[in-house]
Order: sequence, then C-alpha cells, then structure tokens
Amino acid sequence: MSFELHASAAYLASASYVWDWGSVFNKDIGHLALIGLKYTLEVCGLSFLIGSTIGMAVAGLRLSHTPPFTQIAYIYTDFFRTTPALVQLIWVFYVVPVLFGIVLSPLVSGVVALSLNAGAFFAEVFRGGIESIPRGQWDAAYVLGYRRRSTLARIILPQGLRQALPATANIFISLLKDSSLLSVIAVHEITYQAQTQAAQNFRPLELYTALAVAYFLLTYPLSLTSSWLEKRFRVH
Amino acid sequence: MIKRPGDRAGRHVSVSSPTPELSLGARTIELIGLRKSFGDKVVLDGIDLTVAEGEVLVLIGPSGSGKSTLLRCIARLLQVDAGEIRIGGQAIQDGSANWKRRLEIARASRPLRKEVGMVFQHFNLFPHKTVRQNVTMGLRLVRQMTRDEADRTAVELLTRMGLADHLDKQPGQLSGGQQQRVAIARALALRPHVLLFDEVTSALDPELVGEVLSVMRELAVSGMTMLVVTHEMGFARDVADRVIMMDEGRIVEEGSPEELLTRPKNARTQQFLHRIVDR
Repeated sequence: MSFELHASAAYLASASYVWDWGSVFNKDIGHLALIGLKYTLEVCGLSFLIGSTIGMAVAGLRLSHTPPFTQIAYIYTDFFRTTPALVQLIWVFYVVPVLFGIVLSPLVSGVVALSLNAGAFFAEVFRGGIESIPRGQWDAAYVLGYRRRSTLARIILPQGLRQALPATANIFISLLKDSSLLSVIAVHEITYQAQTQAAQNFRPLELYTALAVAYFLLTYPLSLTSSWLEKRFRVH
Repeated sequence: MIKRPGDRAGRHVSVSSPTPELSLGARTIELIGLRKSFGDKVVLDGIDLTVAEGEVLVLIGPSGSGKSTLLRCIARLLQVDAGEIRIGGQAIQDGSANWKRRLEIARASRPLRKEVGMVFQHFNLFPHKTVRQNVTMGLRLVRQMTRDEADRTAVELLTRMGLADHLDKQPGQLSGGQQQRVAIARALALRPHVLLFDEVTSALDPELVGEVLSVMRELAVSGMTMLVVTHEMGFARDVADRVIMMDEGRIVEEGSPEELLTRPKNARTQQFLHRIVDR
C-alpha cells in the first residue's frame, strides 16, 4: 500500500493531476464496496457484541473485590490498553496458530482480536459507570431488604449503564475505524477493497478519498448520537 | 429505664399504622456493649440500650459522637466490632461470634431485615424510577405483592403523604421536602416495626423542614417505634418518649425530653444544648 501511495504522491507534486471520479463510481467498484461494507459492519458489530460481553464480565471481576479475580481483570485491561490493536491483531493471526495449533480464518482472528481489545475498554467504561453510583443507592436498597442481585439488576446497572452510554458509543466508533486494520490480514472489508482496487486501476487518490468519506459518513452520525446522549444523560 | 409508651395522649392511626403481623414485644431493640471503630478512631465505645415497642427515641449529640453509626449498625449497613444487637430477642449482629456463627446469624435474621426501615439524610431515592415505582418496587420484590396490590398500596400511602399530584414524576422534579416524604413512604410501605431516621431534615431548606417533621409526628402518634437522630430540639421536646445524649461514642445522659432538654445534669449535655440554642 505505502509504496504505490508514495509513488503517486511524488508524481502528483506537479498539481496537474486530472481527477477521474468515473474510475471509482462505477458498477464494479460499487459492487466491491458493498461487499467491503458488509464485512466492515459485520466485524464491527460482532466485536461490539462480544467485546461488551467480555467487558461486562471483566468489570464484574474487577468489582468483585476478591483477590485472584481482581488481579486477573487488572492484567487483562492493562495488557490490551497498553499494546497497539494492530500488534494484537497480528499476534492473534500469526502466533496463536503456532502456540495452540488452532488455525483461525482471517475474519475470525480479526473479530477475536478486536473483541479482546474493545473488551478492555468496555470493562473500564462499565466499571466507571457502576462506581459512579453513590453508596447511598446500595444502602437504601439493602435497608429495603432487596437482595444483592436485585439491587444490581434494578438499581445499580440501569443507572450505571446510562452513565456509560456515551462512552459506549465512542467505543463503537473506534471499532468502526479499527476494523480497517483487518486489511493487513486480508479480510475483505472496505479498506482492503480500496487497496486492491488501487493496485489494479492506479487511481489511489480517488479511491482513498472515497474511502475516507465512507468512514466519515459511517462514524459522523454515531459521533452526533454520542454527544446527544452525553447531553441527555448528564442531568442528575 | 424503659419508659412504657402508650401514655401519649391522642394516639390515633393517621398516616399508616404498622398493624404488626407479629409483635416484637417490649424488647424491640436491644443493644449490648456495642463497639465500633474506623481504623484508630473509636466511634462507638460500649453502647447499652433497650428500646421498647412503640417508643420514640431521639438521639442528640455533637457531630462525630456516633449517633449515625449507631443507626447504621442497627440497619446492618455496618458490622459491629464487639457487642450484640437483638431485635425482638433475636440476634442480628454479634461482634464476638466467629465468621461461621456470623453467617448463621445473617441467614437466620434475614426475615427481620424488612422489619427495620431507614430514612436517610440525602433521601437516597432511586432517581431513574418514578415516585410511584420507588414505592412499588420494594413491595413487589420484598413483600411479593402483585402489580395491582403494590400499586394500590403505594398510591394510598403517597396520597396520605400529600403526594397524589406527583405519582409519576421523577424524584429529581420534586422539592427536598417532597423527596423526603417519598422516602418515608417507601420505607413505610414495607410495614416495618422500627423506623430509623438519620438526620432526615438536615439537608432540607429551612422552610421545608416542617412538612417532613409533621409526617414524623403523625407516625409517632400512630405507635411506630422510632429512633431519630436530629438537631430539631422542638421535635424532640414534643414527640420523644426518651432523649439520649451521645458524646464520643458513649451515652452520656438519657431521660425524658423535659428532664434532659430543660434540666440537663451532665456538663457536656449542658454545653451542647447551649451551643444549639445559641445558634
């Protein structure tokens, strides 16, 4: 990818570049873009679901205040927040098969890596949300005779998750963008599609511009939703 | 030591009578040699106290004297370090027990948990639920009422508290005084035998204190057993059967409101009352 881009960038320095949008907006590329979009959304949606489940479980471990579990949760979140998602992805794709003898398809590897990565962020967001609920809420429920489970399910989580909602939307945005990393292990999402097409029709400028616009159109409404949620739930 | 209640004039049921299914008897609450420390700080330093059924006990004393901690121990929000708490003769906390016995006590006394209600300084209403739901949720979860039963009970109780117009509002839309009345209704709905009030008017604007105190007065008249931590000396004088003065984790003086508030014997009580009146 980088070589072609450098080459064309140098060539374009003359500023006499003639844009040819027809090379991008045609039936063939439209078809490939749709396939790419399907993969992008699939990867993103699955990682969001799996990641939030992992995050909820890890937040639970963190808040259990029981020695081995809390430490495990710490190690997990620290590891995945301090290493780049790209490195994690490559590690899952190339190292896991060697170590464990399991061969994962690029798509599965990608979803596993992104889910684990997002799980760490989800865990922090959920933990923060739950911890933001004042002690008095627990006290009141306890004195009313609620069981711990009911207190969590009906009092703490509904309020805590509401607090966590804007941050959750941000994680979704990050996942949408990070799914582009999967192009390096040949998952056919939109970035991969743009790269392969650019290699064939030598129109990287048009393709990558269109790609950027596509990501923008996907994420911008989400980012608006996130700030709307933030405003809506700030009142307390 | 125990003044039998029932001699207060004009007892009538007006807010909600506890209508006990079981009577906890004269020894409703017994505290025996209670001790509690937070780190190095001793907060309760040997408390012995018996509260009779229907008695209204007001706890006064400077901040940090252990009044709130005492209530929180009775509500089991805190574990005592030593001593015992009994309700209706049954242990609910025993500081000298080993962990096994503590678990046993916790399990055996679980049904008693709903016999002790508590109202907090900062209301602690559930902000994501409506006023009505704040009351019905406990009825459904703890008293296993049907939806209709719970709703009827809640509406009736809230109406008597003067909150009929606010049933479907969020707590955040109400004034402090209204929120505190919701909190009292929520505690009362479960028909506890004992209600603990922890400085329930301290966070209120002065003009809203009266409406909460008048609900508490009616409750007292209806025969509810109440332990009230407050700085409202007028309330103590009019409503209390007995006033307890605490300082540095100990009960330094106790007596009828008239004795204790007008002719205090203990120097610390005298000092404390002076400061309150001078304000």
